[in-house]
Amino acid sequence: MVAVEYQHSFNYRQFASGSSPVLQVRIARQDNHEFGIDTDVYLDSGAERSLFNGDLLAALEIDLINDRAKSYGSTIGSSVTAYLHQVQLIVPNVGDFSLEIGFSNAEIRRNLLGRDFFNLVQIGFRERRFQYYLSPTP
Amino acid sequence: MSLPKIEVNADWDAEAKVWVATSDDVPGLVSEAETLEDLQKKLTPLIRELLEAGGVLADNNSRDIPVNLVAHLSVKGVVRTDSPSTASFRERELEWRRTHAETLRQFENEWVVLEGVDIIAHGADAAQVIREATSRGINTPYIFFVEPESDDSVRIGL
Repeated sequence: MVAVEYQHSFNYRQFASGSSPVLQVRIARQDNHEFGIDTDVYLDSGAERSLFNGDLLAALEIDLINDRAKSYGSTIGSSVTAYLHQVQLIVPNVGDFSLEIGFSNAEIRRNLLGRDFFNLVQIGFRERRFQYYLSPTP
Repeated sequence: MSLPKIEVNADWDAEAKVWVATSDDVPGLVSEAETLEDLQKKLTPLIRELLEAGGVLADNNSRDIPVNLVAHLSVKGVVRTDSPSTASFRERELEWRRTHAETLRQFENEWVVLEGVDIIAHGADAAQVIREATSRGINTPYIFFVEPESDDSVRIGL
């Protein structure tokens, strides 16, 4: 048997469209935490990397397009281009994480935290109870 | 024909100090309340709504739904947590969203910046919505997208 202890527990967020594992985060510039934005992110264990709507960078006064473009492929073969930016991901009561996130000018409606974030934490899902668990150490 | 009895489990969340109801008989059911009595009041209409949505119960069926609510004061398991709920961030906004779903419907398919209980800006262009919010003095806007009500489609990450 494997026993895992978690420090935090979250209920899935309930929407008109259903329940989802959503985490409330603040994204901030690494060099100046005064520039930030609060938003919802979906925890996506199927995503190899995190992907956010590039418009959010407007709040951080960061230009979206840089020389670090990356293609994000979907399950049907289509892809979107995202630009990697190192930002501070602040999860209240849990911790601050430095994470390289792909921001895209595609119409991303759900910001996704993928396995690059999961690599920084310990996370577990209990779908039947609509809960997930999180600890700030991998 | 009478409806089969619905089994609902109520687990006490000691940190959040609420009873949390779930049921294998009603997919999607999750509700919470500070007392079992309050939970029971919330359950009947919620179960009816979910059963109707799932096609188990016909719309406008006025028959009583028999519910067997089983309370669990202690839960043993592999997963142990120190703080079962971390909801102190943007708590006012999240509560407002929870209680004003109908109001938010008019903003379906739009981005919304909410500060406290005030909608500061909204629109289809997230960057424009953010700029409008910051121009109104919101240094750290809280922005979210209002998804349309379920349209039978299943959403995947990308």
